[in-house]
Amino acid sequence: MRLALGPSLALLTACADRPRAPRDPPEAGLVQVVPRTPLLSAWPCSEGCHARRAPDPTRRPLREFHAGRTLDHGPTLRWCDACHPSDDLDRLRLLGGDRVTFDNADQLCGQCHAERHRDWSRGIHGAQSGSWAGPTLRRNCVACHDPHAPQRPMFNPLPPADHDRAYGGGAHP
Amino acid sequence: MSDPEDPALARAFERARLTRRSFLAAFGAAAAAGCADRAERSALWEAFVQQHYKRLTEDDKRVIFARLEAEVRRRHGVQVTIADPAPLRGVEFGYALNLSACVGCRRCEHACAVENNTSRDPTVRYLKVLQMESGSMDVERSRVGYQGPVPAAGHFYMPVQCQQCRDAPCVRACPVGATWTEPDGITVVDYNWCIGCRYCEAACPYFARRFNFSEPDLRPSEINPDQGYLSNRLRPVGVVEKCTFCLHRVRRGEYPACLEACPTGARKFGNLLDPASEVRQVLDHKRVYVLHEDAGTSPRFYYFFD
Repeated sequence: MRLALGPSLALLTACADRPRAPRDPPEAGLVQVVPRTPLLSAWPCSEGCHARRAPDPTRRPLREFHAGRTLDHGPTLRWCDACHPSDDLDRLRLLGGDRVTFDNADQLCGQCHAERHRDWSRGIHGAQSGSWAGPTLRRNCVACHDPHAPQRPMFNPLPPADHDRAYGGGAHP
Repeated sequence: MSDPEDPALARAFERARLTRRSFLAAFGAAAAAGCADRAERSALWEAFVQQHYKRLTEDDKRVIFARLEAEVRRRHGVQVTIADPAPLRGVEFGYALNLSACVGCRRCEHACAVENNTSRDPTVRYLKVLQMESGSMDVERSRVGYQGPVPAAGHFYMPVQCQQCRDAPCVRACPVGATWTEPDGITVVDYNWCIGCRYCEAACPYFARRFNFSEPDLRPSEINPDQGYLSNRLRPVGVVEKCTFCLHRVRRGEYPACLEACPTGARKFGNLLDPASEVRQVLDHKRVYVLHEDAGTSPRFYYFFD
């Protein structure tokens, strides 16, 4: 009954579609990179622990401090001081010797991963939140990748829909 | 022959000059009299005689949205807000998905269900993540019910949802005009105009439309109260629904729920007409492809590897 009556009532009224006033999009905003330093637990390093204890440049398993931290990112090439200079622990050292803050860690990563870094600055690589029209909040490299051991862990997927499971994961759909 | 100057006749004409709507409403009220739940019967009738979305005035919308909100309050005990944000000027929405980054964790699928009030039992999901075999684009050999740690070796993952086609077969298939493409490129459904024939579902090459075979089952605590008339408001049984790029969110400038849920940043969304937008950056700098290009639908949803 609904099938027959609804459209036929529409024909009876025979009035034109009502135009809707389009709205202007929100003001185009800035892209902001989520700052890193507020998320670090014991920063600034030089004023906390390392005011009392100098960094140990010997390569060793870390047990006393930074426990559980492994270096699996060119482990035979680097040790802490490759990126964390002993004389300037609150900043990072680029290959050429320049220093950058932890908030600009992407410049350090981008030295080797130039293509990824270019994509990231264009908004192609990496996660974002906020607004598509701006301001867009972009995550820095280290928000998702551990620079000391960048191998990404496996994910446990959330459960599939019931009927998908019932099909035993069969062909699409 | 009657005399047009006859005052008695003129009064009779005046009485008869009811609008179709008020006449039908009066008729409906009379028909509903004596029913146990008059409010519900009245709402049912109001819904029955409701006009097509495109013919509604702003006043009509206010009345209808209030009725729908009251209906949810009565049936689920939840106060919701139904809005109808207009399309944005100079905006055409597009989506890009990085298949190299997607790990198949289904966070998007679940976030979509939460945002869009889709039925939990039976499970209705607008988007499905296909587990594809590496080196093959054959969706016929893909799997949707995969379990265990992902990404599994020898596979990649391809989420599929509404591709918001420029030439949408579903829109052409609808016999009553209950589905159409909005000026910003989002294909929507007027759930109160849909007759549930499912032609659109059959016409879609992407399996992107869903049909409510039973009353959508949601606990009151699961209902998202932030609702749009053309997007995530609670659907009745027997109508077709689909992904709308979270229309009620994106027209406010927000990202779709699936994008915000993605832990790997595989999803990119924005205005196709803005060269600085993320989705345009993808189109300008990556080799993208569309699903089922041979179907000639010209989707606004792009996939890429990097």
